[in-house]
Amino acid sequence: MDTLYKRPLRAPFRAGPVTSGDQLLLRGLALLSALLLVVTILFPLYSMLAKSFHDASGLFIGLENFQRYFSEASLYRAVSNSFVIAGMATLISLLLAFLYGYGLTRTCMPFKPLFRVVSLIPLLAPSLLPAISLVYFFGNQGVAKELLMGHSIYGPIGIVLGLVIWVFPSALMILMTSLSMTDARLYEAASVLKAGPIRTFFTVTLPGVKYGLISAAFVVFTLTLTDFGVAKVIGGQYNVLATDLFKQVIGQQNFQMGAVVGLMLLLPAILAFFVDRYARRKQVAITGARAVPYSPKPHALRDRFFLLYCSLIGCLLIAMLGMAAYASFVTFWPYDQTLSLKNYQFDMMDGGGWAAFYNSLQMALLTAVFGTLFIFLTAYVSERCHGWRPVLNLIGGLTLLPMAVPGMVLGLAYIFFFNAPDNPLNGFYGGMTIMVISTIVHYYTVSHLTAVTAIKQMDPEIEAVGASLKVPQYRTFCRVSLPLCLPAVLDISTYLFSTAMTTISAVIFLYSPDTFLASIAMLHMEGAGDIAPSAAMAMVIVLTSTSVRLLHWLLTRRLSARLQRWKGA
Amino acid sequence: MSQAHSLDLFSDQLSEGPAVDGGAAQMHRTPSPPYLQVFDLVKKYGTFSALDGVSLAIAAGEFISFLGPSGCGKTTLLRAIAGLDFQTSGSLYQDGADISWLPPDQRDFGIVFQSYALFPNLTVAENIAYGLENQGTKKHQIAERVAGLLNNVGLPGAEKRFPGQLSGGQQQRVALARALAPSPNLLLLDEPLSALDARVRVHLRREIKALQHRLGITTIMVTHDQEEAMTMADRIVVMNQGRIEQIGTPREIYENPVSVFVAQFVGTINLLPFTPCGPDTVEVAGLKFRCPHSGRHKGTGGVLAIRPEDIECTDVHDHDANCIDVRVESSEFLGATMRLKLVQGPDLALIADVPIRALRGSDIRPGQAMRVRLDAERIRLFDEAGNC
Amino acid sequence: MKVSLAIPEKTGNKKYAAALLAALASLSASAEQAELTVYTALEANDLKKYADRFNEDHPDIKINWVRDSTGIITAKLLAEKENPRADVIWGLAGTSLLVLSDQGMLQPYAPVGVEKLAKGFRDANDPPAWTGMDAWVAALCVNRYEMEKNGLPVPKSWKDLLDPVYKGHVIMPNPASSGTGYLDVSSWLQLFGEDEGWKYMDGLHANISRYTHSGSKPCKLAATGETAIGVSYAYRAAKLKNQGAPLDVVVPEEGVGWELEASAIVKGTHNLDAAKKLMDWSVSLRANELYNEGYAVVALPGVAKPVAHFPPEVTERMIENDFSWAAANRARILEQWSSRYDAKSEAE
Repeated sequence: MDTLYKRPLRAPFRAGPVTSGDQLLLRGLALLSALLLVVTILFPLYSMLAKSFHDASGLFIGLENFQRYFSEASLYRAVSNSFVIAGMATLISLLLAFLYGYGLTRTCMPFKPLFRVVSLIPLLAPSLLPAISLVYFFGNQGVAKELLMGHSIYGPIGIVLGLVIWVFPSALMILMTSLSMTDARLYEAASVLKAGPIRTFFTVTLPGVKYGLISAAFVVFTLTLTDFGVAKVIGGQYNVLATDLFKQVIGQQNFQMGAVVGLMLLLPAILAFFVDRYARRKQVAITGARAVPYSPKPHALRDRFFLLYCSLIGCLLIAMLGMAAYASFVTFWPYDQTLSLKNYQFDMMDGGGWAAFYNSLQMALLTAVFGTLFIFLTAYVSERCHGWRPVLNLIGGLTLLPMAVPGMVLGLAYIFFFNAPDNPLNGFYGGMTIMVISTIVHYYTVSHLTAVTAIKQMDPEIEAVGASLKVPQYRTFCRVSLPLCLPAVLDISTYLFSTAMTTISAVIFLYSPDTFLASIAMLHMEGAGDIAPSAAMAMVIVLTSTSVRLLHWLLTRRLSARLQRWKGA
Repeated sequence: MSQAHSLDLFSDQLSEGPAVDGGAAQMHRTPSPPYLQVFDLVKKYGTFSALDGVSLAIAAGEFISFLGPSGCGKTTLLRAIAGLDFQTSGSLYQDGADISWLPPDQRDFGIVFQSYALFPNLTVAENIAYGLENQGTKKHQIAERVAGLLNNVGLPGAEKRFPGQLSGGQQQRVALARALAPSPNLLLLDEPLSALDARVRVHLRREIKALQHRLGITTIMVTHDQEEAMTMADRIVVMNQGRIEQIGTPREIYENPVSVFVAQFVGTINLLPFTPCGPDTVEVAGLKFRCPHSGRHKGTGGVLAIRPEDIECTDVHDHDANCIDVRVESSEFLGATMRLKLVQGPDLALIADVPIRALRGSDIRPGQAMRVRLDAERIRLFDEAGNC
Repeated sequence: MKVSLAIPEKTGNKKYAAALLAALASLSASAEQAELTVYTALEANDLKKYADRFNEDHPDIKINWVRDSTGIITAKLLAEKENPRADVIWGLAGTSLLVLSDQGMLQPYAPVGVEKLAKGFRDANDPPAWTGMDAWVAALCVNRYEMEKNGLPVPKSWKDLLDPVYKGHVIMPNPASSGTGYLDVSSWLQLFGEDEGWKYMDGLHANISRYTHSGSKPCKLAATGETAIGVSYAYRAAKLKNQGAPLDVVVPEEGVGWELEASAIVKGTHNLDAAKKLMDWSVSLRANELYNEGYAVVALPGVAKPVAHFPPEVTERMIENDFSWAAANRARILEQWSSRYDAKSEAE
């Protein structure tokens, strides 16, 4: 063994690591992100929590607001109503989506891509749209009123139906992921062991998608529990939490009680969030990386059954959209069935007119641009910044939190925080900025996870190679990391754009007369009894979302051609 | 330092770099000042020590391999040398300068990762030129340099292709060219061959070694493959549990392992518990063996180690003290040798590699009786802790 | 000043563009534009018309509307009491303005020509805290086809609506959010007395299928046949009839509640001068002619001309309305109403 040489004396003494310029930049960005997330997520939620323990004059009164809430039957009845509605809607939509997803993943029926596209229809418009369609189908003048056998669509039946349609794509997407992840070898094993189809279903299929079902159930439950649009249009006299929250805050300007209702919505949502996270982790754990993808074999009877079933559901979804589209052109439903563009003269209605639509476009664009930029950069920083655990953990927690916060609660929290007279940021209140911020925050988690997945898929040593070649990290980011993540960036911006076009829940509390949005205009027109113009606005939104998704599809196709070249033939 | 390397480094390797004639042999004779020194490096993750006081010196132009099982700290050590992960304490000197706490972009090294980490969206030429563009090198010079490097790694004319269109071995060559492009004085290779299939691996081994020899660039390679380390490195640093077990030439490591761990990790070896009995004699499973050159240890007992090739076939006429009569339990044909599993009673089992030449004419069957001799010169003894 | 210039897309002439920009710059420099935040419960489809007419005379004042139902605008104003965002209120129920006036939130101002207004149409104080614009009157919107289909007799009075045959066929606005809803409730309490009035509402509640957020929605729902009878107001009924809705307008014979639409300056405004100009204009002849396009009864005597489809018997059936009573008791009445009937109320 060689003798070690004495420490050379000419070397300067250093106490600790010299942070590189790259890391300094990353840390600066991490700090900025953390700060912005704290201000836009944590502070508002805290303000809401605080508000629920104070009275109108700002005096701390402990649990008095809660006592009042639970002592008024008309208020707390909304809690049980909401849970009943959400529970039923969840059950039905899970069943329908499971069968639909099964058809798409486990059978050889034809037209699968078409059915996939059709299933996305409800995502193209605010949740008011299914409700409006239901009014045209089953309302007093509805074309299929008889089907309800004398029951009124205004009330629980209508809410559940509307919610089922609206959450169908969300349930389907989760279930399909889980259905397509099951290991084919389990089925081979089952058939070798001579298990019949029913036994196989209960011993292989169901356990395989168990966590997918749990995850879907809780996601859908939260969505249905906290949705406002459907209950607003078709709820009639049936009180639910979301509409109650609106009544308290906007109708009676009773912010303290609003905060209490907001907490009623927030708590189950947070619980559901943790169950969902747990289920997703389990799902990943039971499907190892070496699973063999299942590819179904033709089976005439089964395939025909699912073709029939999916066609039925598909037709219902198309009919939902088609009815609203048709009604939007009818001059005066039901008495003057001539077709005209009268209902598209939004400037003659409540709700901000065409300007609302242009506002929506503007907001969606700003959300997509700034949201993608911020979300992707934050995800990159949190993945690539070394050390600084507390700051990165804070970012990690805050990026997951928005998924557990219902939109209305977020909007309410924003009122409390940004409208406080002593908040230096209260200039944002009522402006476009705050709506853009709230929309980004509301849809943060999904976008963040998309970004993180893409970044994790990149070779973790790309930046290290860059550093060893003395290339600043921002350059490597622009030349390599960003181009590699472009598909994810496109996905995120499209997602943000289309959700911004259709969102109601958070912005309902934040718009001002100058910043009316198309979705809010729908709500107002419907509220003033102008249902057909509301349907017409929905059509404009649908057209916009569809165009954007089409554009996304075209871009992704071109991009994937390039990616294929990178990956090699 | 970077000025010392001109762009035509490859065409005129002999004129450049320190200790071009590299290799351990020269260094052993006249110790030149070490190029890289590591002093008492410690890296802790919570209570776990990934590096537990590592010190070593590397001469300019040497090819060093860090060898050890996964989790032994070899990659941690490499990343600390690169500045990719900072040590908890300890210091590093490169070419006389303290680099202990410098970020990677202020150090002088090129690195090749196990995954190659090629930029998939850039062409081969763009990948290799990546570190050059930043230095303000002129376009045509870059092109020349890229072509020269590609020639050197045996991929001439691959400039326009994308990494995804290349085989694993070809990608590895591009990664090597990219690391070498800015003429670093230290090349770090992190398990460079482990993602390749066996035949390509053997081929690339030789090529990398040759290239390193040609360039005279100080090189550190992390590997868990002892064969790779043995064939490529001038010296091997065997690591275990965050510590250096032994540093030495491949031959030293193989022939004189300082611990049971090294003996076991490098090559195959028989390990037999012994108790001492008298001078130069130990007892194993009731049998007495003579071992005059077995190292310092006698103590109260420990492990006797002998390589399979140091067990020779002999016959009844051999009355050497280290001869034992055994029975063949099973045999494996390895080409040049036959690997025999030999047993003597219930307590003694041995593996012996016997040259085919020595077995010509005799048929080896399970159950067959045999007489073998354990070469007394080649027996090593370790204490109960596994050390000399 | 409102400047809208369409710049030709392809001028191809830089000099022209530069001149245009220069002109634009000088225009915006010379015209100091005031902006007023105006809270209102006027019909949404009238807002543009109102602003345009006003801007014909005052092009230098830009109106930023904040519109919602009467109840919500009132609640909003009350909630913002410490930190008011509105400059002017133009078109809000008189009762609400009385409430605000009691809270000391209005800036008294006598607009030029206020003395010409009919007596009930301005605050009795001098200078008045608010001035009236027009009056809107309750009425029933009855869908001819739906009545026929369900074999319902056309109701003639409020009391007729208690008939169980109407169960589930009547929709009325929620008084907490809608000014029309409140004028109904306050008129019943005045017409029948408090005890009888609440008893009447208990009975009516049994027939009501839902309470809407807006005052015009019941009439619109009746117009589209979603309900047979909508308790709403005459102006909306007349307008929908104009559009071809199969509606009959019924003015109950006991008498109908009515409400003033009025305007006022919000105390603490930073644009007092502009606010005064708007108030001056709001009592002018031109303004009253504008009001008359939708309302049969306006503040300036002698202006009103008959409005198409407006039931002529309305004016004689308007009750003696005690606005100060309605304002003073608003909070109490609404609280009582909410605790009795809120479960049937529509969101908002």
